[in-house]
Amino acid sequence: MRDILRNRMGWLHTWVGFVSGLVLVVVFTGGTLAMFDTEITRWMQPELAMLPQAPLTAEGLNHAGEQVQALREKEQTVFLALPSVRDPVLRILHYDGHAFVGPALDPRDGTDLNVRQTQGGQLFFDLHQSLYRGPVWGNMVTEVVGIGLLVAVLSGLIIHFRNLVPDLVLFRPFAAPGRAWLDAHLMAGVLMLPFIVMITYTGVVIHGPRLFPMISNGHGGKAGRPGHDRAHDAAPFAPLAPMWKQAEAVFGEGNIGFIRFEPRAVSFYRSDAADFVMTRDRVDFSPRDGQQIGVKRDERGDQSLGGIIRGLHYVRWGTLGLRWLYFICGAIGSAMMSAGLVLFVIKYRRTHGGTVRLALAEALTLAVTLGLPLASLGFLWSNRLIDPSLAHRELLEAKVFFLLWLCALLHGVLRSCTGLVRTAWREQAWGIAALGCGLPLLDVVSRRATAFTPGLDVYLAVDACAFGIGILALWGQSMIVHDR
Amino acid sequence: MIAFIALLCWMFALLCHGLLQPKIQRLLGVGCKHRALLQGLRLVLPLAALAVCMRQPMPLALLLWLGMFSLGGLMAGGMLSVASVRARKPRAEA
Repeated sequence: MRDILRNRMGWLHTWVGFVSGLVLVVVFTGGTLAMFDTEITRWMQPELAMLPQAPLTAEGLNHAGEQVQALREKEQTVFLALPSVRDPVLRILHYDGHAFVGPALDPRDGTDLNVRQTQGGQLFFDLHQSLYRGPVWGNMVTEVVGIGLLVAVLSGLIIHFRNLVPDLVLFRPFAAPGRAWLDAHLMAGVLMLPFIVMITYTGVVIHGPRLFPMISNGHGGKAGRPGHDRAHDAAPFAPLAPMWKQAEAVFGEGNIGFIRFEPRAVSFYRSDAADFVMTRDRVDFSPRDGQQIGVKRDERGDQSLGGIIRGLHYVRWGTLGLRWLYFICGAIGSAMMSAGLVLFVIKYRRTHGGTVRLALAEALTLAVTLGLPLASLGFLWSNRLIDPSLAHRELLEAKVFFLLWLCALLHGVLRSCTGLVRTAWREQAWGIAALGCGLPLLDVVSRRATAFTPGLDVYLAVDACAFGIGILALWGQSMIVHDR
Repeated sequence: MIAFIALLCWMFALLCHGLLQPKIQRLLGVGCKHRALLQGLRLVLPLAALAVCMRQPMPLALLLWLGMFSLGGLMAGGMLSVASVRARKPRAEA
């Protein structure tokens, strides 16, 4: 009876794990990088490196308000993001279908800093949330594969139930390749179990209303997203600075995240970083005279529970250390799933070697495991190589990312079909090594003319991570050679 | 500092857990001389990590404790793997 259950669960884990895993590696890698989306955006706007850390002034905010007003008169729907510890500039943002983009302003006087336009880290956020396929189909697919991951976790626990605790820290790198990959998959899977279950469950619940609109409480749709309202009424509004001070008196100093402009109210929203429970609490002001209309707080009960779940998942309240912890756990989770995909192709190579189906499975595994980091590094390279003043350059950067990823897939298909899949792994690992190890050099060279000042900042962190991934890829390709 | 102490506690606790497993003992070529001590440490160190983490506000404390379990486990697994590779070499040469 027990063996029948294990066999059934084995089949379920293999197939649900592989099909979902191909998407989940993308979702997990995207989410891992999105943990530092703001910092990646800053890296991709090197003009900001020159800007000294300065607090927001009343003059700066009022000047930014005037620029927002000018855009509203042109019937553009924008909102204003206030400076924070992670992003010390004012930003006038609009949603371009994938990311919030717009000019960055100096918090001291509200002047335009003329930064290059980029989707930055939000490309990874969109990839994580909706696979860059929009809020309907993209979200639905990520939701379904999220449920698939929970099924795979449960079936995996049943399969390995007896050995879960004894083999918790067992890894035998010298064992046969299949056994070593299984050890790595199991060890990472079990040790990361609390994180994986928490992050998947909260992610599924956050976007559940999109898949099941009948249980929507108004948080799942696009209605609550800033930047989507139409600018029906572009009548001039009162100066923002006095409203800002009043809003800070309600939510605390530095706890205002963004300002949304609606026909009947200028709303100051509490920052997501202000508290563990992520809400859309706001203070509304009359746009005509700046008088406070009221304070709207999310009601207790299910909305509060939703806020806790969003707080756990997005962790925008977290310290830098906690975000690094999420980043590391996410990266190990991605590696664990990639190991599962590799195990699948190793298993089926014995029985289906030489078939087109297996070649496709191998190419897809390669494309999500190595092709995605390769394309991500290429995306960072394109940011520094494409002319900063080029119109719609942010879309061009995104095209470079997807083109590189497509090339990695085609390369994998070609090599797999000719029986040279190991060569494909090595070549793509070499590509990652070259792009990763070369990125710090590119950063130094491309910032030399503007603002290169070495220090412990986002530039060093991104460069160090890219270099580390490059070194890891070098080691990986040498292991493939050694294993031959 | 709190995270670092919690990480060390978890790492040593899971190292003790690993050393108590017959499969790992065989890989390392060692017996289990201090079974009671290892069992005691395996029990006490995670609680010590929890006590240290509780100095942070909730839910940060809980996230930190669970996160350090994951990282500590990976470090313990890595150390045991290196040790097992080293223990294997002399046997292979012999």
